[in-house]
Amino acid sequence: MAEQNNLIEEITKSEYKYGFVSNIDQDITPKGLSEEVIHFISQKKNEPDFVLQFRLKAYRAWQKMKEPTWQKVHFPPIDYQDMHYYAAPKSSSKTKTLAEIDPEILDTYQKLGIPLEEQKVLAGVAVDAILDSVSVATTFKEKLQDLGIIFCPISEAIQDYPELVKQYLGSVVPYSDNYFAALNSAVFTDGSFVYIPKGVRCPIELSTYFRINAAQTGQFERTLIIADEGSYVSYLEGCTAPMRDENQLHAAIVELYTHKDAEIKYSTVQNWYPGDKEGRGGIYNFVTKRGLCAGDNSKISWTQVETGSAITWKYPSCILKGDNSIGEFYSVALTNNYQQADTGTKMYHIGKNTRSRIVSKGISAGKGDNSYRGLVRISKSAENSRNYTQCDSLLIGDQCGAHTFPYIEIENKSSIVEHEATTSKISDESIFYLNQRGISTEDAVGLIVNGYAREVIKQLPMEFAVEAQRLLSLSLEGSVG
Amino acid sequence: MKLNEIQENLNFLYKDGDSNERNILESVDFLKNNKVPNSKIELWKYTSLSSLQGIDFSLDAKEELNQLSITKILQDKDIPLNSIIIPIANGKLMNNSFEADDRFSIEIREIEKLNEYAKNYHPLQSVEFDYFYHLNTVLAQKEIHLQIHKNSDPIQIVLLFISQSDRNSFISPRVRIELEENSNAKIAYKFINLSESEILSNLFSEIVLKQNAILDFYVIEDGLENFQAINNINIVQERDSKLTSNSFTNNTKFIRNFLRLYFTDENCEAILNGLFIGNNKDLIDNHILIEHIKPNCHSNQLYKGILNDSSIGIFNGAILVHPNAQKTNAFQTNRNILTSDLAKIYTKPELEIYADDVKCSHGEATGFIDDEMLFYLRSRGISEENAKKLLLQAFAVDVLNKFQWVEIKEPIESHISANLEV
Amino acid sequence: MSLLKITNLKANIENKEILNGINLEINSGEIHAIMGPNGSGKTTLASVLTGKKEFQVTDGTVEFDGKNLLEMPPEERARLGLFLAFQYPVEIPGVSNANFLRLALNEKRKYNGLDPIEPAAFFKIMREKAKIAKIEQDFLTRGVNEGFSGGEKKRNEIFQMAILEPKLAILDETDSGLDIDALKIVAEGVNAMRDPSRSFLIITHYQRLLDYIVPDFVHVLFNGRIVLSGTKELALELEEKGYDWIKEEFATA
Repeated sequence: MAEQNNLIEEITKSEYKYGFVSNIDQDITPKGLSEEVIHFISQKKNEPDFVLQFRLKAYRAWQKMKEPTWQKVHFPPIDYQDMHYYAAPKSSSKTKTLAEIDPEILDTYQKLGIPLEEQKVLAGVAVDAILDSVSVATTFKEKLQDLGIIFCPISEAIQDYPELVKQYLGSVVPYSDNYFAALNSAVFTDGSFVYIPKGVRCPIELSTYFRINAAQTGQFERTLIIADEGSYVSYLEGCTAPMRDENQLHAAIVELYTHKDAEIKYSTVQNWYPGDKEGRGGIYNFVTKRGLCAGDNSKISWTQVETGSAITWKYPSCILKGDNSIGEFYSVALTNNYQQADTGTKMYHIGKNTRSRIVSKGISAGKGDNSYRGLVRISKSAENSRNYTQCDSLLIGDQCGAHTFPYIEIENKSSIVEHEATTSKISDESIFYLNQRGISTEDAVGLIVNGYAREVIKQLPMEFAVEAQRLLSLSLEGSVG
Repeated sequence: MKLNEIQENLNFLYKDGDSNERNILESVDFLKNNKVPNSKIELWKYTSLSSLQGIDFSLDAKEELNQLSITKILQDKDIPLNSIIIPIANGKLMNNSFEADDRFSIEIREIEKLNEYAKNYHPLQSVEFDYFYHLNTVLAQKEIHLQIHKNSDPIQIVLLFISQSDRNSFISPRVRIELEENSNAKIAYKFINLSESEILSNLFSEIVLKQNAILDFYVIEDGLENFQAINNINIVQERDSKLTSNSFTNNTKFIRNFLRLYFTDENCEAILNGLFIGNNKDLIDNHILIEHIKPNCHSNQLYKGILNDSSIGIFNGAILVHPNAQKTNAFQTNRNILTSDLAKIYTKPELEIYADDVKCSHGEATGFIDDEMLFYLRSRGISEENAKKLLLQAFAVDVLNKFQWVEIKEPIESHISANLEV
Repeated sequence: MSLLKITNLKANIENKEILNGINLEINSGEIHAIMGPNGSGKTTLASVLTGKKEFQVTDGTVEFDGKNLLEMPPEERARLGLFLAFQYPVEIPGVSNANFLRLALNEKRKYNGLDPIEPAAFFKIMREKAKIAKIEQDFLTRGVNEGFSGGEKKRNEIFQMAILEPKLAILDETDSGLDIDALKIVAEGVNAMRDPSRSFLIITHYQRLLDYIVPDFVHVLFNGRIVLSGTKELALELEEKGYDWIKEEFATA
């Protein structure tokens, strides 16, 4: 046992070699946020001055801002002075053995078909699995390096590629963008950095899964992806298994930047802890995701399957600045028990002949509350632009809510915007039909829900799609019948 | 007095002891604590009042109309003469101008309490939070009460809202209509402006449809120069009642229509048709809130807009389905055409649903005139301009054809045809 | 050997009595036809047997393969080998025929202690069975009944029956609204599946179908009861004389 602990410590030390978790006792800042804390974080991470200044400006902006109240979610007030902004991630869980893990979680892993080794990683106990991942990650890293692709933690990028970071950090999501973005900009701890050079088509799907620290990135993650002219990358975020995370508040930022003829495809399967059946606990997920199609003919595509978190607040958006650029948003958001989701997208059409497509599928069960909130803005310069939005809600049970709040702003006569929304429920007739063919009610609901969500799920890479389907069925367990 | 000066002049507008009505006191209180809405308020996000802010309005427009001028109006304007015509000049009822009838009665009353359904439900969109509702309450002080009697024969009534003043004036018409059980009425609100000065008309109207009542309702705002109107209309439907609401707005400088509709019992039906045409710098704002409170009710909206020149259109249609309002059918369609690069449209269709056994949908589409159709017409030798007019006419007539009241519909139709003459 | 045994079955919906004491026994390998005027309870009988919850059974028993059918949830009845070709198959958008059928088949296999069928093997089965119902390949990937014509829906039911290989298949007015070519496809599908271990209960309004699927027994259902039973000649007699004489003769019964 002692041996194992030593091994864990050694591995974590070597992984977080940039001082993130070098000495657990010393690296926890006192609770609360102040300029001193920000100086401390920046110093600990040995950051160049521009990053420190960025953080400080964000902090000062944040102090003047108010927590937004327009969203249709309810939660007790968050005390921002009652949390650590720089802490060793989950030191306690590292000493756990599999036997100490909540059997309910293990049961869930089992149902998802996650191999034992991965279960250990997720529960924070695995050693060998981490070793496996290290080798996998390294292999990929070498392959990517040959192509000139940079794929590393953002803290590493700040050290190794400061010019790139300086040029793009905050270029899509300014530090003063919104309350949670400002908070993130002030205190972000880690996240991914990706740069795809001109004309390179990234041969594999990049995923946080291959980065060891991904399973334990903190509550203020920051991701920056840049696709240079004519390049392509598909990026997978998140974990396909449920994550038990001790952080209540998650305020992440993702910035995507595409140059001329470039394309970024960004997929998320989010399954953070949703709280228990009575609505206790669960993650508050306040995320700012935005892509800028800066160059002509560029494309950004967001796909998300959101089944977790007690509160989901995110609007992955596209700024279609380049002529002929394309923005896409495909989303499935499921709320069960007491979960609340307020999610959607914003499509800003600025360039000529820009196109956007929005497919949003909300599923509400239990006492879940699910809102789609979206903006389609066609500005005067966006001649001949097109948007198509389809926004459906599926209700399971009579205690849930489904809402849509689409804003459509059109300032140009040559553009066409179409928006359709429907609401439906799973009919007893359909369930009975499937029952009659020998399928249990639970499976029948799973089938129907997956059919309903298919248009979105088929946008996901294959392995992700399979997991997403399982998650949907799993998240609805016990909601019918 | 300018709009933003109202707050500091409240004591002047409302002297203690003017009335002890609780409604009025509440409204005074609201105005004391709230400012004229601006674009930071969600419901006024796209509807700028700035064009009205600069105007210095008089609050006591004189009634200068006599029977002679009424007769003249009736000759000039497209008014269905086979109806009972009730003129309301600068917000005041002109009592001698119509024949009484056993199917209805009309009188001036103290302002009645807001219907309980119109309160407390949608927290943000309720008229209780509407600045102009409270302003109307304080300035109108009394209301015109029109009662359509129980089991009466079908009746057609035109309320002529006439404004005339030699100076910029702010008027506050206040009308309450009650359709008793099993009554059947066609009622039109027709606005006529004879003034060459600026008029801001701030109307509040509550209409109650009792059990099994049928109302075919029209709001016509056509060719009103120097006229800006804010119309807050609340309609409360009781069991088995049926409403058709028809709205037409054309060539009017500033219009804010807010129709709030409450289904308070089962088996209510409402069909809402609207056509709005903006020209020059017109701003036309249609807000609709439909609250399905009880099961088995049906609502269907069709609103179409044509925005020419630099006009701005706003369409905000909210449907709220309460818990237990099962078997609700609620549909909404909004179509808009922008014919100019300076025109703008902002739409926000909202669905808020808390019951599961419902059928709800909305569809929005905005675009230019369909290219293929245009090409087809032109390939048959029709000029581009005429082809566009034909298609716009078809677009508009689709809504007008749903207007049941022929005497109201026909003049509008010929008006549009004249505007879009080929 | 008795496969299905219905004894004095009574059922109602919203307190309205629809079945008034049905007695019927079907042995393995037999084909029974049930005829009767509209509203006599034919579809209700199919619904009660398959377990539609809107209907309350107030009396009687149903034994299927030696088990008490009425106590089982619908899916278990299906896994046991009871199949209903619905009169109006529902459309389930987005759920592909292939996925749904593989799941259905594997559930049944699991129930019978068999291993699940792998996708490749399943597709082979599907292709084979598709021939029976004469359905196109693209049928398989489309959503269940989604946008299907009436005839396509009925053929899809027969196709599903062929895949699931039930012990007892109930065809609820599968012939209604079909032209003669489509009717022949349905009949050929059923005949191809005739087997000493498989029985059919064919509910129909018209004798026409019975020219193609020859029944061993014909029953006449009226006012929720079987009022006449006979062989295929009875069907011909009904076709010739219509249902009016039944109504007259048994109206008071």
